[in-house]
Amino acid sequence: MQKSDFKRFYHKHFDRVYRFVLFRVNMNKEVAEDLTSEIFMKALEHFASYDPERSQTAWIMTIARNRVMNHWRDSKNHVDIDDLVFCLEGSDGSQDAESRDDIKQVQKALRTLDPKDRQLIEMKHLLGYRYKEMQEVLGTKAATLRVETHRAMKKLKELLTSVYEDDHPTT
Amino acid sequence: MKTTIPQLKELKDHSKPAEDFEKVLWAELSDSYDRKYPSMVFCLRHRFTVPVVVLCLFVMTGVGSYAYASPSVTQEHVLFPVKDGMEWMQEVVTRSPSGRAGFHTRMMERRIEEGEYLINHNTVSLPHIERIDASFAQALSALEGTDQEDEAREEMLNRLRTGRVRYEFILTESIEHERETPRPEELRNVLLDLRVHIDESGLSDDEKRALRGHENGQEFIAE
Repeated sequence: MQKSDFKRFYHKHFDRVYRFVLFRVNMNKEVAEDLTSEIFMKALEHFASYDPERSQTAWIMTIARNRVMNHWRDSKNHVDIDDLVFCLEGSDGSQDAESRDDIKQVQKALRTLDPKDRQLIEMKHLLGYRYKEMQEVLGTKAATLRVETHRAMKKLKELLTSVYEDDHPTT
Repeated sequence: MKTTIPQLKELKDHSKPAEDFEKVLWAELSDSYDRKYPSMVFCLRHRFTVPVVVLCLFVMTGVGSYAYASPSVTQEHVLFPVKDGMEWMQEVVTRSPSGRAGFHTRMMERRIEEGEYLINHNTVSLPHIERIDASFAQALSALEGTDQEDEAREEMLNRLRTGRVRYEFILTESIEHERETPRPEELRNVLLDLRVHIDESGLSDDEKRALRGHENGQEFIAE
């Protein structure tokens, strides 16, 4: 294994792993950074024995998922991380009030979505996967995923409208 | 209200990792990688290259010092190019007239030491004598080029006078040495000249063999 291979691997997956973790730790950036570090350290530890036939994306996301699960298990709060995804954020003073509202609305809507639809939108629009990469992780054909993601987006749009109306009731 | 995709984009931007964090984490991973998978170069550097380089430097320094300092390193010696090179470098970096005078005086003394060593080992030859003579001339010339009229100049002149006496001794000894011990090739030439004048027809086989044996000069020298 060459160092350059691992470097490429790291830079390709860094953003996605970090966001995946952040969305599952109440948007707590410090915790997300700690867990991301541990995930890549673990990946480095096992990179030499990694099976090249296996999808890199699926492999690193499995490590990330297991690490987040262990994090919550250790804190004795939750065990199902899918219940935790898009829990509302912690402190972030850098955002203005309007942006924070927008973010809260979309997080609220995402949490209301069906887990399967939420996963598709997260992977495609927040983690930046291509449909081909999603196929490697989810085991569903890319064309099917495209259609399903489109449907999920329509559902999210409806939910967002409903969330917006709840937050801004017409007088 | 914003549409769906811009809102998702906002969430995506909001969740962007800090650039510093990415760099710092990579630095940590890079260090861990180097510790976990030491490269061949790393291994060689620590287990092979360093000791070899140290040994080479040690040997080169030792050999260089020996070549420079020892009077036994003369033109026929395998380390002579090392000595010659070091002296040349010394000459190049010596710029001032007084410095050059001092340098050539030192070189003259070194040539004389070599000559004395060769006399003691019965191996002095004309090229060595010529080398001493040339160094003497260079030392004198360099000293004439200096303007100083001080103790340093006087000291160099004294060294040249002493050198002159030693040089004369070498010359005398080399003449004596040549008379006493002719070289094998000189002996061979003399014997070949003699053989032309000897009529072998009247000699026995043993006498002929003995005469041919003398041709390489070995027995003559042994006697």
